[in-house]
Amino acid sequence: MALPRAGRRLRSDTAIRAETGKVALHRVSGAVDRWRIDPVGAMRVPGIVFASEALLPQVMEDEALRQVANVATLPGIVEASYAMPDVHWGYGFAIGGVAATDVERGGVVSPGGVGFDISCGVRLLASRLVREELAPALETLMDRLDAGVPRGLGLGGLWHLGGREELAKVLRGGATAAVAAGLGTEADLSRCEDGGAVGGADPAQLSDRAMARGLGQLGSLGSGNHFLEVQVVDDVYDPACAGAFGLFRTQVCVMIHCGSRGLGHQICSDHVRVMRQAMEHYRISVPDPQLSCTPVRSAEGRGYLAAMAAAANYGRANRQALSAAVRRAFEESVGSSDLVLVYDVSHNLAKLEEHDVGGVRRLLCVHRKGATRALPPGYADLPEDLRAAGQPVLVPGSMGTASYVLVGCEPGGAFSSACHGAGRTMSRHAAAHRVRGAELRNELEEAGIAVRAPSARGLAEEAPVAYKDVDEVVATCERAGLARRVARLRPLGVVKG
Amino acid sequence: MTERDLPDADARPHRAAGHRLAPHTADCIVEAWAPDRAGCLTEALEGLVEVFVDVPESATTRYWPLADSAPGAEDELVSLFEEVIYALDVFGVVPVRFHLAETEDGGIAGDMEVVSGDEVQNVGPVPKGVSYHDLSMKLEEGEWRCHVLVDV
Repeated sequence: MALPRAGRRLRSDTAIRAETGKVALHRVSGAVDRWRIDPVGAMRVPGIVFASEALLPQVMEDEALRQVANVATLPGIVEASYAMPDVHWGYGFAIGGVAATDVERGGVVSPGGVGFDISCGVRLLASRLVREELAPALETLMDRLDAGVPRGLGLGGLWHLGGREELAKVLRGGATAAVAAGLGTEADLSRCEDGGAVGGADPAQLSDRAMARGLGQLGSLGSGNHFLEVQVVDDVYDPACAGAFGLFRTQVCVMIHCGSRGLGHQICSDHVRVMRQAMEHYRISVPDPQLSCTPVRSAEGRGYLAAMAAAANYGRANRQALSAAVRRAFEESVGSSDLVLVYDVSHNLAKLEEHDVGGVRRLLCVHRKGATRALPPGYADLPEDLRAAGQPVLVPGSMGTASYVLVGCEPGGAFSSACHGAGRTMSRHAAAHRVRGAELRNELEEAGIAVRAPSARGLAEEAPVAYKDVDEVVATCERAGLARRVARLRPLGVVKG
Repeated sequence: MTERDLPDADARPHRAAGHRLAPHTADCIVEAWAPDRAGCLTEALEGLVEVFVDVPESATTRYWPLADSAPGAEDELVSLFEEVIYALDVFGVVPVRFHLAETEDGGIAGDMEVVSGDEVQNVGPVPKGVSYHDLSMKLEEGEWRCHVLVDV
């Protein structure tokens, strides 16, 4: 059937049934912006897609729904294979996918459910400046960041490690190791997910190649969709929550989006290969080799989780090291390095968490691939000063558009998860053909956004037209009860990876 | 214009050996074809490099050995791509030419000519991993064809 165009209203519930390939989707009656893929074939649970009518056509354009259905075949999966409103075509798992497996009932862990860029995530730093105070120094600040933030092609990071022993300390300690090395404060750690370090990390689970790739890249942004933005808070939806997060209108902030660089990618590659070989032993078959998995309670599963934790810590140390560069650039350009960490959260990770499933408390391995944990108020895992408010959920928009700070809320959904960004809707290939990087740069600068980018094509590939409407994505999260809006931020300057 | 009717995707005359970058929402797909396996792998590797750099004609190259690749056409493709990514990440070198040949025992051996990353222009996202999703490398209708998704 012909798919409805974005923004056009769909017809009555009974008519809202669309097929993408062989994946049929229909509205969950009585729920807002929630769609269901009924289990067929090897699917053990349904797929549940959170999408507004405006987003749905984009959700159905590529292979994402097929991938949501494929994930539903994983051994031990409970409730549903979930897709956030920013879901799009990935490899194995869709990007924007959430899946939880029951650890004590043969539930599996899949490196593909975390993705190559383990612990890719976002951190938000809040300055005490307002927009007008920064304005005269913005270009100087952008030049300092441009010069001080390694990115793109080539070797080198800000943190020069002495060797593998020092790397092993980072892999165990994450952001705490960075703070111990003078790259931040104890206060930073209190605002990091897991206090800055995931437990159970074991550097011995990393291959020689993973270690080699990690040695020279700590404190670097990478490329692709990774960025560092100077932003301004331009709207506040929940003043009480914003106050708890330390945010106020017109405030200058810095958002950093990056991950665990080559080290995390190598770990994913190594462990997908191991699990691909091991699946036969566990009598597991999956519809896509990138979904290769073994039970959490297996040697391969434990090995992956220990390596994944190490990569997560590398990613957190990486963002902490970049924060030190940001503070230095502020010191040099505006005379103050006073930036407070609002929060640091990963959106590519598997975590062992307890959740109620059918009214029973279970230990689950929750995979979030391009999805953000969104704890509601009251959770013991939250920093004490955020416990009453709930967990900040950081949602970067596409370049030149808004980013959001959300907060986890009750009842939540998908094991307390929310979106992780705008979500791509156009391939890099198509974006590079449709958009001229130089023109985009001019448009952004005419809109008052300073741009520092290593290549025109890289800029074009990240053009806003290649992404969904982030306003609609976060509004969908809110209507679906996944998270609530707290504040919106607009870019003043983009340092593109 | 949709992703599926980009001029370089479908409107190009079919050459005996070649490669192209195909659309994928988040990452990059490299497709290649050639009459022989070594040629197909070479084309795919050239496609991989095109994802992220423009190499100047005059660049001075040096030879870089390629480790023995894993047996099996698909694993061979993955391991060669991973060699390029590893050399880039750890040694900062970018390959500009590949010299591959089938060995007597049915494997693939060879080397690549590389330049320093400082000598090339970075024009796109840097490849970091190779996915098994929709991976294929096989002999079809008398030519070797491959399809590989690269995480960037």
